[in-house]
Amino acid sequence: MSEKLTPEEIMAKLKAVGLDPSKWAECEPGEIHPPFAQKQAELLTQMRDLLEEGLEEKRRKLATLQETLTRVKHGGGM
Amino acid sequence: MKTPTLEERAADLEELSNGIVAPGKWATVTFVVPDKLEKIREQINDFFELVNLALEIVNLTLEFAKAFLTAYLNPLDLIIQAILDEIRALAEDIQQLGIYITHDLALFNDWPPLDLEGGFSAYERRMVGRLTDRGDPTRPNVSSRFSVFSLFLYLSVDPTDVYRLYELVMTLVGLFTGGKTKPLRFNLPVPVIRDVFYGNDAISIFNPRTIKDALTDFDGLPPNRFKVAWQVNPGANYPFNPVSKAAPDGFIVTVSTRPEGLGAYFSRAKNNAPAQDGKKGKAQPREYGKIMDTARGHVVLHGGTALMKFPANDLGFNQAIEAGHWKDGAAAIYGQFDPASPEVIPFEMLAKSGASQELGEAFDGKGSDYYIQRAFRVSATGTAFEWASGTFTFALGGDDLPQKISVAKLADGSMEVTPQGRASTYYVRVAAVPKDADPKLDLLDAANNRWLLGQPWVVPAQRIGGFSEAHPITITGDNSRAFLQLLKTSIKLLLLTRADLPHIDTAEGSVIEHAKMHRTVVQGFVLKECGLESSRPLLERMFPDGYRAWVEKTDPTSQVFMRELEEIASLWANRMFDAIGSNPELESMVYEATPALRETKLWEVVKPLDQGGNIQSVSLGDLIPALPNLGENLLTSSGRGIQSMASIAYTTVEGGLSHTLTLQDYLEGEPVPGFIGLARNPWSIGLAEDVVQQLRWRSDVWTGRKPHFGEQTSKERGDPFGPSGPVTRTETKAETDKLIAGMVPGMQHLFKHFIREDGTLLVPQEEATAIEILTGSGETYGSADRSPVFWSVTSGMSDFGDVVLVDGHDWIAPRAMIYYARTLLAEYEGGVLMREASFVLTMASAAVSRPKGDGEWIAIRAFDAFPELEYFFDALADWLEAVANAIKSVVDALVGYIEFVQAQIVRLQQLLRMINAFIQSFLNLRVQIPRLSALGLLSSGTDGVVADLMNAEEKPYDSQLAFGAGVALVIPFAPTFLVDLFMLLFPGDPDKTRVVGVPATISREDAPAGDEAPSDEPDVL
Repeated sequence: MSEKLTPEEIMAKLKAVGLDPSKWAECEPGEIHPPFAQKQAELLTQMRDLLEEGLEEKRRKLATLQETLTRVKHGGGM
Repeated sequence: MKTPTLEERAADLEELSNGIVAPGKWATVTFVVPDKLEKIREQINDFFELVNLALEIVNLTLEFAKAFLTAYLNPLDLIIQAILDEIRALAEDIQQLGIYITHDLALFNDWPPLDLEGGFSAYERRMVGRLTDRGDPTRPNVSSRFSVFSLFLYLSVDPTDVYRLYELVMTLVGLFTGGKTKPLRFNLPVPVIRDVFYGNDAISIFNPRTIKDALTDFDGLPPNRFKVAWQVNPGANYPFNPVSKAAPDGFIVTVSTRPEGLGAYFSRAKNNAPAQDGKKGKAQPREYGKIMDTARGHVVLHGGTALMKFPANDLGFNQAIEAGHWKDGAAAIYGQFDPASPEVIPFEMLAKSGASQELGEAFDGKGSDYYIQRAFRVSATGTAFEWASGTFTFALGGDDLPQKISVAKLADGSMEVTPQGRASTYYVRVAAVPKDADPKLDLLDAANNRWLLGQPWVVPAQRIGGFSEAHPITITGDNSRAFLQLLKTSIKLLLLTRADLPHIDTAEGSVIEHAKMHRTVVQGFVLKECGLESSRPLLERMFPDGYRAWVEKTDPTSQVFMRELEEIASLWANRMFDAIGSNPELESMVYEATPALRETKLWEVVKPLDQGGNIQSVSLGDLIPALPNLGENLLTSSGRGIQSMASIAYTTVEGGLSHTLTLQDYLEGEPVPGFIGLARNPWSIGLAEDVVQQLRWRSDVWTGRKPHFGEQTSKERGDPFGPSGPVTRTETKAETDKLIAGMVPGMQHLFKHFIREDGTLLVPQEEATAIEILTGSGETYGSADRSPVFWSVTSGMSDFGDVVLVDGHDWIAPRAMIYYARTLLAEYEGGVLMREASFVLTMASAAVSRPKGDGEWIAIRAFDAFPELEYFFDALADWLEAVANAIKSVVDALVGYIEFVQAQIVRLQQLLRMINAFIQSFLNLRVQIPRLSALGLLSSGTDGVVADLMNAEEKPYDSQLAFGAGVALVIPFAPTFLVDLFMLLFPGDPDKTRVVGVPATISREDAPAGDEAPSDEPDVL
């Protein structure tokens, strides 16, 4: 389960950026890049790198198979 | 687990979304999933977009893993599995959160959204109402024993920025609901095009004319400037102010060579079919379908490249085709006007290479850079707004318009577009756009759809209001006016020649031969066709009550007929021109083929009128309607008449008419001297009824029936003239009186000159011959006497000599003729006028004469309508070949194995491309947040939230006239990531306490004097 914050922890976080939870405040305009999206991107990047390794392995396997095929066609053994 | 169908998934989404994001209600994801949702919880993820995306990855990667792990177990796959587990854990973690969200989107439904008026106080009232409505089962009802984190976000705008407010609320709701909220179609007013005006230059366009006027008031150039005029509904609350305070900021004006929009479609590769032993090659099935927007409507384009962001290198049609086939794994987006048609319009070919992708500007002259469609942006303040009529206008030039194209499929399967120049008709539309909104259809944003097999291809909805109905702009060519004139002339010739009358050969019995020999007259039949009979259907359409009734009625003067002739011909010429549109090629061809219609001189046509007879026996005043008194003077008084006659009358028609005046110009209304005219029939020249009857005796004056109409004299019928034929003398007054009384008035007038003082009659010998001629033939009748005629009165040579002696004075003998127009026109130069008129009418009347439902052309080329069919045939051929060649050898086994690995590589490549796309999506997941007011509360239960909301300090201040809206979230047990997200809204110096209480207003109205909230500077974005 996701980490939950206690009320005290929330208060501490808000005050850390100068916010008073009982008052309306004006937020800064700008872009928000949700941190969990970053996390997902990192995980997918790891997966992609691994798959690329796997792809390379398949290509090597393919080269081996084609070489074997050539040998068989020319009278060689498997 | 059974994969749900699209319908099941849509139903589940609807059910779930109703509970989550129903506008004005609290949407909930609870800790305990309701029973009814439990069964579908793992199938659908309707909470966060991220969750959804993550689970897509999970599903796809699991599929991938299933394929790989079973076939090739290796350490890499185990690591991948671990990563997948982590992604799944995060997804489930988020899914199990409880969150309540409410928003104001529903209040945008009406235009203007007056329910949002009232600023912050109204927003606060709404939110408190939603928090305290105990009758609302969707309300967050959290016990005060639990801490609750709540977040309130609010923005107010001045009325001109309502759409931005809508955008913000959509963004915020989307941020917390993963974009699963079904967007409401923001109800910008839909413009209504009132008219399109035409002009030739930048000045004349501001003195607008309709297309008819522009062509009629021809000033040397065809119209090349167009002004579109439209209105917008000001809304029920602003009935008298078309530019209401919530009016759109601007408009998009689109022009297209086609009346319909260009539908957007996709084609994407499905997974390869499992490799089968002995088969050579792979058949990759594909999916086709409509591109939908997030409002679940089919995307239809009107404005071409300027209204879309399109990844041509990635999703272009031609890049996806190679050697007649779709490339392996390729996806494409393309346009079709009709999905049943083979005509594919590649989006990447809607403009020349290098052409600007931005919206056009009036008179930029760049129309030739674009094909089929183009769009222009018009500022509501920059456009000419006419207060008096409440109309917006936008002018553009002919050079701004896109080119029409032809599309051909090349041998390699790609589509080739060939520009064809300017179209003859364009179709203009107008849509309202909100301030600063990018109206482009974003086809980049949803490129990941290429991987979502079995799912709709969905793109974000365009930020644009509804388009008006298409309104045509008629483009006229150099020959357009000439064509229109020729059309009018031809219609007039049709009306003048009684083409409605059937040929005598269509009658029955012996009457045919009798009529042909003029031994009898068959009313309503002709003896010779005029050449315009093929246009009878047009006559029937022009005169629903009958052309015959129209042509046979009696006018007081010739002028009445000439006016009606012009009105009817103009009406139908314009109607036919509108129906067929301007077609420069057709117009040019017609122009070239009709020299006689354009150039024939009037005097040449009416020259036979010079064969007319002396009419001194008839009141000349009756024959010259324009000069009613002159004729009387001629015959009854002295001196003045001669001078007057000499000054107005001409010796011959040929001499009296300008030799440069064409028949066409005459029919267009070019004035001629009053001695000649054109009448609906002999009864409509302006003569008294008895005079007309009298003229029946004058076959030399009333003539021109033959060879078209049947004709017969009373003598031919056996009727006697008078009691004993021509009489030249009487012996007593009583005899004279009896003779005169039995004469028609004109003859009486003539014979009275020969009565002597004793009352007896003696016709001088020199006049006797004339009298015999006059009375010899008797009355004459025709088969269609009530037909249009030319008439003339000249003072040329008469059968009685040049000079007539009357009352001791010398008089020039007046000569008159009434001649049937049909014979003059149809017999001229062997009927050339009729042939050319028939050609014009045939070309132009096809569109208006074509019966409904007579079928349409269907263009089908083999295989084009079914792109997959060729592929299927290829695959079938491959399979047959594979079966035929199947052998159980080691080589075959090896080949099969190699193909299997090759297929795995292709699949892996596809997965990698898909993952890369998702990585980019996550990295690009950025939300633009404007300056807005926010309140984060840590409260005890729902009641605590209400109390804290009401008691919060530094509330935003704005005007009661401002429009305000926002979003509220109530989150029991605030998770770290949501608090972190909230913190992202407030970057900056943590040591400095934030100044609060300033309303987050994009551009607010001035606060009342002395009541302005403290602020460092205006919050204007």
